[in-house]
Amino acid sequence: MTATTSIPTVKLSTHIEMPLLGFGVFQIPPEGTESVVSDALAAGYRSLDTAAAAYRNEEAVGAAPSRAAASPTTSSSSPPNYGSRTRARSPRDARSSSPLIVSASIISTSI
Amino acid sequence: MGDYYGAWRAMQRLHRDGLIRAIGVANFYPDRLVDLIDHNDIRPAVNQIECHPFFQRAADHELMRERGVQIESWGPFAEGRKDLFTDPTLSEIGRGHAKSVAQVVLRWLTQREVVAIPKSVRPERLRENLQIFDFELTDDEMARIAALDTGASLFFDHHDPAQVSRLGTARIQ
Repeated sequence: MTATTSIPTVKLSTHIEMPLLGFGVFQIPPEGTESVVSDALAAGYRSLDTAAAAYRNEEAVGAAPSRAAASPTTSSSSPPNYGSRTRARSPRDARSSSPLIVSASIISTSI
Repeated sequence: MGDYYGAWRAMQRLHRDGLIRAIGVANFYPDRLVDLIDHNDIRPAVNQIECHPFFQRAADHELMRERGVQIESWGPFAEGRKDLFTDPTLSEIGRGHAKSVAQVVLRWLTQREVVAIPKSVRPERLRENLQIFDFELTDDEMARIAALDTGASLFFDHHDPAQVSRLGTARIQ
């Protein structure tokens, strides 16, 4: 694996730094999602775009960072990046250092 | 759609309770976005909308900038519609930088401070998509890409009542 790329960020109104480039999982089949998301995290992505119901692969998205957190490619010192449509599953998730982004599709006008 | 005010107020509560770091919306056109901002306590941190070379959203982007809402693109490659991956202009610009059309598009988006979230299931592609911060598009190249805008969605008409009803009443299994 080559060195990961540093991704520039933009500052949101809530003062959170959001990577200019993230990884989208829309239309990735659930059975392949965990593996693909693991690849994305290893490559350097730190922002994941998902949506619980509409994309139908959220559980697999959540599994990948948990696994990656134990590997050297995703240091636990990596800053958390919470994206646009973030919805944490629990307070613990929201405060952890995992780059997990879980989002809600309830506000979206298309699925 | 539907009760998005109710949903937004619930999300505001979660944000105040510290359970959410940021809350945002998707597919909000300027009229609905401004309405939501003006009548709630917390403005969306992000609005994720269709944004690609054939539907660039420059005016919408400007309004979001004025309102402090970060624009985020979905469908950066228009899912390959209108033969995006072989578009002559994008291909020629790519050749000049030894970059793919996908990299040119992602560079164009991020150079304008549009957050992009490309999907790929192939490891080599998802790595390729990250290699866009080692070159810069010139003003001329940005202008040539700007000329590709059709000003219309390639996917949905969110102002068509039939479409609104279809999207709003769809039930997810």
